[in-house]
Parts: sequence; structure tokens; C-alpha cells
Amino acid sequence: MSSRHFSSGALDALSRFGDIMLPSHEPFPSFSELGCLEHIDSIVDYAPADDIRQLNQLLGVLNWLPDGGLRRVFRWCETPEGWPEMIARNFRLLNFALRSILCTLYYSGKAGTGYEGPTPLDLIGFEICRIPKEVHTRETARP
Amino acid sequence: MLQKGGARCLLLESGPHVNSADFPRTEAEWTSQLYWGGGVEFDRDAHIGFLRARCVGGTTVINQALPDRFDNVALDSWREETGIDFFTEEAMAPYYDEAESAIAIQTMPDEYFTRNANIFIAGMEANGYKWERLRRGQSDCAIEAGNDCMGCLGGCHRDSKQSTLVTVIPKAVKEGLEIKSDFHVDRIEPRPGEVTIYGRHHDTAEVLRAPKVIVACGALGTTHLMLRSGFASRLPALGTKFCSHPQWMSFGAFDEPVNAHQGAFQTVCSKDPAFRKAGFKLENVFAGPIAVAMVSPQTGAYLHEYMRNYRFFSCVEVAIRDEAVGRMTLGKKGRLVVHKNFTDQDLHRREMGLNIVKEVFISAGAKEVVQSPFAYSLHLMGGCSIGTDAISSVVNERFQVHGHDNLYISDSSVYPNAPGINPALTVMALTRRMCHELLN
Repeated sequence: MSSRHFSSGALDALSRFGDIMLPSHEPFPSFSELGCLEHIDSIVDYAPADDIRQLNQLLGVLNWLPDGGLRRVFRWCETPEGWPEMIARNFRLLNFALRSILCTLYYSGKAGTGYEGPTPLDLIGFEICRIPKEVHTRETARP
Repeated sequence: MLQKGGARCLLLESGPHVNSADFPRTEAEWTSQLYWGGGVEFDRDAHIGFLRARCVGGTTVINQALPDRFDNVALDSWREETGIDFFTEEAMAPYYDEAESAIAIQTMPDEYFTRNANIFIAGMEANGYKWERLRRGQSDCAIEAGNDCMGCLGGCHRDSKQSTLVTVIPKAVKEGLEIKSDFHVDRIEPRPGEVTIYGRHHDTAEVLRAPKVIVACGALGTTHLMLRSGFASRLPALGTKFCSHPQWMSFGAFDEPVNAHQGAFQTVCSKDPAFRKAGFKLENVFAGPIAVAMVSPQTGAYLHEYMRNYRFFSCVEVAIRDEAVGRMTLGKKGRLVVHKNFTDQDLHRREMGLNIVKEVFISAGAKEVVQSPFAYSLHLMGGCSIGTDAISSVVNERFQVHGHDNLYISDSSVYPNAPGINPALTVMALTRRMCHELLN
């Protein structure tokens, strides 16, 4: 898998963070089992380039950590209260960045090429109906 | 209105020009493609997420189009804060009338209330709290045909939502309005008789000149442009008085499906005088799976169990009337930095609201109540506040930037404090007032 925005190390880190945030939990697949990371570029193409560049660098470094270290960083992101504010603020930012990217991909309705099961959207029963513009009904509401 | 009054107008928009046939269809696509920051932006300390649209029509394309007039509580506080005497219900009425006449406004009848709305109503009534039907800017939502309005968070594919894309812009285009989308304005430079605009159209540098310029990029966009253009040295109030009606979502989990994502999306809200006095209100709303997952209090197996309840969740948000003590400055590489901390009063208002939401859900039969710790805001206000002097404000009562009679600001950045009421209709009404002044 490759990306226009993230190095292979950064993608690995995202996948590992994804499995911490969204592990396998019957009937839900883990983040990496779903394979939705393949679609990363389609959601970050529109994000500020500077933000993505910085995140790419940070994730590349974090990917060197063993699983226990990565879990610890993830826990600090979720509960940064014990840290001085200068540091806590960066953990909160990373928490938001990870939640934004990982939740968007996982609940995007898309899966990787090798995945054949139902997507998380199917599993939670999410479906919305759009009645075409051309179909006019009686006034839906009173003034 | 300006075009009709004889002006030749050009509308510049940083984002794309998308219409109802081309709106993105999934939550992942619309948040990344139509929202600034690729979805959500944050304050410097990452306490709060900001949502605003980046497309022709701006945030009117993605909001819930709730056109509420301000009451005397809000207008009195504005009059006291600014010294401007037209902030009264009577003086504003003609402009509200005019703004309302340009859009279709409806309320949903009972038969279109979803289970989400009925749970809210039952819980409110069980506790003796007052609620009301929302006035909605919409024309034909086709609820009875089975349309699910949640899709309109990414732009209304039916053109029912009364965004400026379907109300004023098409009329202005007929009168000759020209639109340049994908045009990013870097800075503006007013001189006597002319304003120069330096920008990039599809990344190609372009310089435009106009006798008058109206800046209307919203609280963050307008303030950022004014800061980039160097007005802070002359206008010390630039970037101050930022406020945003921060909101926190709570979910009540029920045994039977609620399906809050289907049908009429948002139809009722609190209307309790005690809540208004206390400085908060409750919104009966919901969100797509991505947004609901993002605000989950925990992750891991908890997040899966929480999302398994998605169709069983009823949702109520607490929105507070926050103190306007936020500030916006220029950071590294000219980026906008929003400094926004919650005051003790803000936190007290949140706690009061969250406690009532819990009561409401429990009274309505929820088996569990989940309260999100994450705050986000859609009502971004202040930064270029209106007033009578160049020390405490940025624009005068004619909406002209102090010291520059050909540079106007007309959006929620001129708000001097948080009204505690949906801000959109008042932006429209004030804009109409400004247009009358300008044409005169």
C-alpha cells in the first residue's frame, strides 16, 4: 500500500494505532482487517498540507516504538491531564488527529481489496435514503 | 440586493462551487471535501473543534438552516456592549422581515417527528421543561416519501434547505453577479476610492481592484484575512471577543431502535425561560456514524459496543452561551491561532445543561446515558466586533472598518458577544441593513 501523503512507516503507525482504537471485537473487524487504510489519500487530500506533513513525520517516528510504547502514547493522548499543559495540548491534538482519520476511514463504508465481510456501517445498520429532487410531495411542513 | 440596486458585483470564494447534483454523498466525503481543515479545526490547546464550510454558499450549505430572530436578552446585551441603538427588536424587525421573506420557513408537524424527537419531548414534559418546534429554512424535504434529511449535512440534494446557494445567489446571478470559486484571498489593501485584493485563483496569483469590498468569510475567515492584511496595528480589538456556543453531545441508549439518523433530522429544541436565563439550551439532534464515533468517551472494545448502539441512541446537545473572551492571532507561517478557554461560568452552564439532559433521558426510559467529553462549535462569532470606536471594535454601525469607508464586514465576525440563539438569520438581517446603507 502506498500514499501520496504518508510514508510507509507513518502508514504502519496509523494501522497500529487503528488496531488499538478499533480492535477486532465480534462482529466488528479490526481496523487493519477491514483494510480501509487503502483509502487514506481520499480523505486527507483536502486537509492542510502542513498538518499532514507534520503528522507524517510524527507517525514515522512513533512507528519505531514497540507495541507497549505505542499503547502508552495512545493512552496519554486520551488522558493527557497529568502532563504539563505545553505537552498535554499536543497529546490532545494527536488524539483528535487520530480519531478524525481512523474513525473517518473505519466508518466510511469502504474496505480494503482483500476484505469480504460486512463493513462497520453494515454492521451498525446505517443506511440513509435520498428521495430525488424531481419527486415532489405535498408540503412536508406547515408554515 | 446590491446587484439589483445597480452595483456590479463579484463574489470570491476560496472553496469549490458545488451544486445539489454534485454534493458528496457520504459522511467521509462531505466532511473532508466541504469543511475547512479537511473536516474539523481546533483551538490552539485542542479543547474544542470548529466546523465551517469551504464552498460557495459557505456554512449555509452544511448547517441545519434554523432561522431564529434574536430576543431582547441578546439585543439588549449587544446595545449595552456596543452603544449602538438599532439593536432592539423593533429596529431590527424590518430587516428580519426582509431576510425571512427571501427564504421558505417551515416547522415540522407532529406526524414527522422521529422517535428521537418524541423521546426528547416526553423527557422534557416529564420534568416540566418547555420545548418548541424549530423554525426551519426548507421548502420540500419529502419526509413522507421517505427522505432522510441527515444527508443534507453534506449539502441538500433536493435544494430544499434554504442555503444561499438556492436563495440569494441564483437571483443575484440572474442580475449579473459573477462568481469566482477556488479563489484564495491572501490580503486586502484599502486606499481612498479603491480596495486592492491580492489572491490566487487555482494557485495562479491575481490582483483585483474594486471601489468597495465586503468581507464575509465568517468569524475565523474574516478575522484571519484582516490579520493577514495588517489591520491589527491600527485596530487593537481585531481578533478579540471570539465566542462559539460550544456544544456537547449526550446519548440516551434505548432498548428499541430509535433510528435518529432517519427522517426529519432536527425538529424540536428546548424553550424553557429558566434555561435561557441560565445561559444554555438543548438541541435534539444527531450525527453520522463518523461524528458519533469521534465523540465517544472511550475507544477499544468500548467504542465498538457504543457504536453497536448507534441505531438505539437518542441524542441531545447542550449548547452554552459562552463568554466572549476568545482571541484569534496570527501564528507561524501566517496561520490562524484560536485561543479559546472555557471560563468557570461556561463550565457551570455546561454542567447545568448536562444534568438536565440526563434527567430528560432517564425520564424517557433510557437504559444508559453516555455524555461526550468533547466540545465542538458551529456558531463561530466575533473577532471583528461592531462598535462606535476603533479601540474596542473593528467596524462601525455602518459595517465599515474603522478608518476605511470602502471596506465593509458583514458576517458573524461582527458579533460583540454570544447571543445564545442560532446566529444565521441575524447575519442575513444585518447584511440587509448594511446593503441599504451602502445603496443610500
